[in-house]
Amino acid sequence: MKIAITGGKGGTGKSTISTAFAVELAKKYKVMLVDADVECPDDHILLSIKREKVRDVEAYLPSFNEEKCIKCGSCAEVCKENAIVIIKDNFPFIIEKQCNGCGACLFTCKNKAIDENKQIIGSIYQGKFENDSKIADNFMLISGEIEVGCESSSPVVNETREFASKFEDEYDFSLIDTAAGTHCNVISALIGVDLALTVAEPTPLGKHDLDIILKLLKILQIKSEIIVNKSDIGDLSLIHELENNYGINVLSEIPYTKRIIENYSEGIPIEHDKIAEITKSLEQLL
Amino acid sequence: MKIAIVSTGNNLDSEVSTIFGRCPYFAIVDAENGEIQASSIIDNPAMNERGGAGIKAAQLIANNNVNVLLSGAVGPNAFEILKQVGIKVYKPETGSVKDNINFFSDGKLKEVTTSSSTGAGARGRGGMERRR
Repeated sequence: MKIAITGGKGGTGKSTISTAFAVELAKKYKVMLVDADVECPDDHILLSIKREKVRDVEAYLPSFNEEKCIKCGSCAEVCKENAIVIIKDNFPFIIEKQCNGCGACLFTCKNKAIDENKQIIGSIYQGKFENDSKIADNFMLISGEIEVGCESSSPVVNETREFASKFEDEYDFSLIDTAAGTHCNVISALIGVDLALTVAEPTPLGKHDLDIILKLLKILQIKSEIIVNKSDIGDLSLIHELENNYGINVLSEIPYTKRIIENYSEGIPIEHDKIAEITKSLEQLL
Repeated sequence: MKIAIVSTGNNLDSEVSTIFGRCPYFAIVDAENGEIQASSIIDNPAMNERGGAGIKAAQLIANNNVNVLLSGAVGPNAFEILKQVGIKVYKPETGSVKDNINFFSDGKLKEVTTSSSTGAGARGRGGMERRR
């Protein structure tokens, strides 16, 4: 069972809730938590886990063979990222951090003057929850992290998920914690999940961003549920207004609780009746 | 001396632009001691690029055999390209393209020696688009 935790807006509590679900479910089931927020992966911090790097994420990078290159400029022309620079009478050169590894230049070069090089665009980490021996054997964290300055986060998400997919059969639940927003990196994290839990906050901008992610999930044809976090702050009716538009009901409302914030700031997985209640309903899905 | 100037309009009386990679036009002016000998205006094809607008604009400038660029807010990638081909960058003052040619020949403009952390036209990371 693959469940994504997403929400559109940043700071609604996606990671806090993902980690809480993961720990709660791991009391009974085998759970893999995939941190797909590769620009700021911090599930390991919330769980006080020491991650270990498993491997690098590499992407194609062109390398120009000056013996074969005729300086025609077709590589620079097809580069949608403008990562290839060619200045009159000079050989092309690449701005590495701008390259997303698409390979269009390699494909277009008639003189076969481009060799396939690689660059590291991110890393994949693995972590175990050793603070609680009852859970330790049931839980695994996989987290992807992009290199600072790299432009393309989506390939890092894809590779993190591919790495995680090798273990999927061993786990009852794969929870995928996505980044905020609705961009390619979020889409990459959502593709192929059985259910998306959207964590929202009852504010005007919370409603606006939830609306966008629900629209995306509808296009992707992913079954979605809404969890309202900090539900007693702001105006809950804002979120309820969206229920009809998408034909989904709010699955749960988690109130603003000082203890949650305290645990969050100390790297202790949060526990709350509502979390336990939601995980019960997730169990029904197995 | 060939000078490129970021411009908001398609003639020499237009205001200079405050951005580089996504400015609408470049004025390319051949001037000696403030005397304009030849000029042309080119549309900036990088204006609506998804990403890397500064890089594309810098290539265009470099390919026009320009000696000097009058522009503020040149991002790090573009700045590096201009530096590699030896094009010096000076920050224009408020005013028209023509005014700034005069300011430059009078030695009133300051040379830009470092890139702005991100081009002014960039909205967050990677210009027009944030995350890919």
